[in-house]
Amino acid sequence: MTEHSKSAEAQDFEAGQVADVVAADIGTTLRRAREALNMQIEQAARQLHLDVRLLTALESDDFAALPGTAYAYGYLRSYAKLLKIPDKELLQQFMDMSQKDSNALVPNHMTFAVDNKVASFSFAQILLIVFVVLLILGGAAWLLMGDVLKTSAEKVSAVKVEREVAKIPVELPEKPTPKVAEKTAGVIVQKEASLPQSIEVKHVESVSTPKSIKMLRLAYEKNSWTEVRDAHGETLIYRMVNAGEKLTLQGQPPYTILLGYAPGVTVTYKDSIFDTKPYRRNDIAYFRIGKKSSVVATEE
Amino acid sequence: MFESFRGLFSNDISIDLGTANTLIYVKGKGIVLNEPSVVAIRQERGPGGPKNIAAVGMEAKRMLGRTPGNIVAIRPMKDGVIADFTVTEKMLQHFIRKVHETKFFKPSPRVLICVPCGSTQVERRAIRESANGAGAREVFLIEEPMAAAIGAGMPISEASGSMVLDIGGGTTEVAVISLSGIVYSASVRIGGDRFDDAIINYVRRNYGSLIGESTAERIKHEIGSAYPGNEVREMEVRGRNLAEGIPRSFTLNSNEILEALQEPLSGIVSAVKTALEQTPPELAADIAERGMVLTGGGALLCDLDRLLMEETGLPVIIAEDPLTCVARGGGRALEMIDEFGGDLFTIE
Repeated sequence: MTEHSKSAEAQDFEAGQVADVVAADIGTTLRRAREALNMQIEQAARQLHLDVRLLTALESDDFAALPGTAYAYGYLRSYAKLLKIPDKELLQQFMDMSQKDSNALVPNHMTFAVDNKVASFSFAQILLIVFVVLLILGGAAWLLMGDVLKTSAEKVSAVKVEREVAKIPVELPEKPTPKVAEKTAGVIVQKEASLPQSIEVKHVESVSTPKSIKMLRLAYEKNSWTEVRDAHGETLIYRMVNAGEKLTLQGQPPYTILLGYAPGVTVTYKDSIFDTKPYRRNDIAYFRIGKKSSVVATEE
Repeated sequence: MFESFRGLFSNDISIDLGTANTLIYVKGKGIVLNEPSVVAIRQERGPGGPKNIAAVGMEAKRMLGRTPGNIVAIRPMKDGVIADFTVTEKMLQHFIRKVHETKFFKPSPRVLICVPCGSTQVERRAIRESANGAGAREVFLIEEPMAAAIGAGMPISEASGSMVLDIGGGTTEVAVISLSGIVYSASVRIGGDRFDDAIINYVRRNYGSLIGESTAERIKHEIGSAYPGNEVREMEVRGRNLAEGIPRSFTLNSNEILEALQEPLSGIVSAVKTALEQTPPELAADIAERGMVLTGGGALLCDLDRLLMEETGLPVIIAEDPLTCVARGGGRALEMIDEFGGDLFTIE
């Protein structure tokens, strides 16, 4: 009650002239109507069973002196009914006046109709939605990061292998024998190769220079089915090779090669890149490479 | 676990489960439903066959008294409490779904229901279980006069007496409230329905004609009065003449209805007088100065405030929008759960 009184006083003081004029109208209308009926204020108070003080407060727009908004509203309606004046306009004025002030005289429930546009999402719902979105973003980020990490880990391991490979000829300059390398026919996959194998490869690469230039290297940017056979018909590779792999093949040239997806594979022979474009048909390339120190390719 | 998850997609609601009307207030949205507490049940494939709900609310009320043999339109609430448990549960379920727009989750709201202060433990438990059965996650009960006082905007938390008189469809509740608590409360099983019955009985006795509940309610709304006024209003009514057995029309006036309503009105007046007798003197002095506040549909009966004013000698005022006071008050109470804890709520 006292809060309402204070707010009403504050409103009178701060809300400006508009509110004052509207408020003045209510009291003046009541007093004029009573005087038109030749009724004393005491007489009206007796009929309404109200204190004269309360009616005087109503007529002088002193709503702060009334015991709360609900009562003020009720007294105003009863008094208007007694004075036979339309109560709807007066009550509307009273409501408007209270709504103009931020510290409204009317409690919240009376203005609930105005609040109908409150968002239908509650705080908890928003929180849940935000959580789900974060979860999805987090999951996506984890997947992406996983891929990046995996790729970088592969690169790191490849670099590591190469470094180790590079070190070995320095450490073991005299050990390797070219014969070993010559006898070695097969696939050396750097990514998958175990350390001893890579050591063996290194011997071949570093020492037996004439052989190394006949080595066939395949670098994969995309997955591709790969078949490679050497001059003896020995199958050097016959499988799906994943993107990122690098293969080094050794055998007796010429090599017969089938690449399932040629645009994704870089073929290097004798340290120069071999162009597969002329042999592609629907991205599939079938060719022979390395005969009599020149390349003879057949297209089928 | 899953229920509380579904709860995130449900609004907290306050239900005024009244004998005549059910109102639902949703936090932040106001009153979203105001429908008669009537359910129409259809029985398929003859007696003993499966029953299903034909209509609920307004549509069902139109069927009241006008149904064929296989449809029964019933009012599951009587005197403010549950008369038919299963049907009340179905009705609540229907209303709760109606106020929730979401189609993906079955609503599981926190529900506050207003109960008459005179209801027994068994009756309160029935209401609670009925709401649980209708899908409520948590059920709070609040006494109707407390909700009505909050809804009317009375300063209940002050250390001064506030008297509220809530005249509903089945019961009339009178209470004196101070410091957010009920000092005295009483409930009499007189309300809008008793007014209708009194009009039906009066017409049968004086005109030898039988009228239905809907007609009686219409008479009450149009020419019903609680205190003799200068203006006499009239209304033409049609009913079945008991002697002749055929429909006849006759004219009723407001003074006749005033006479018809004397018995239920005197019951309400005496309940108010008893409450004033029982009120501690300090609070009685506050009430004498400020007056009592009328809420509920009964407060709309013409000149009821005048009658109470003359009978008690106290100021009597009618709350703003008295029909929705209880539901609005319940909604406000729900918002105050965090502030006041469970102080406002009743314990079974």
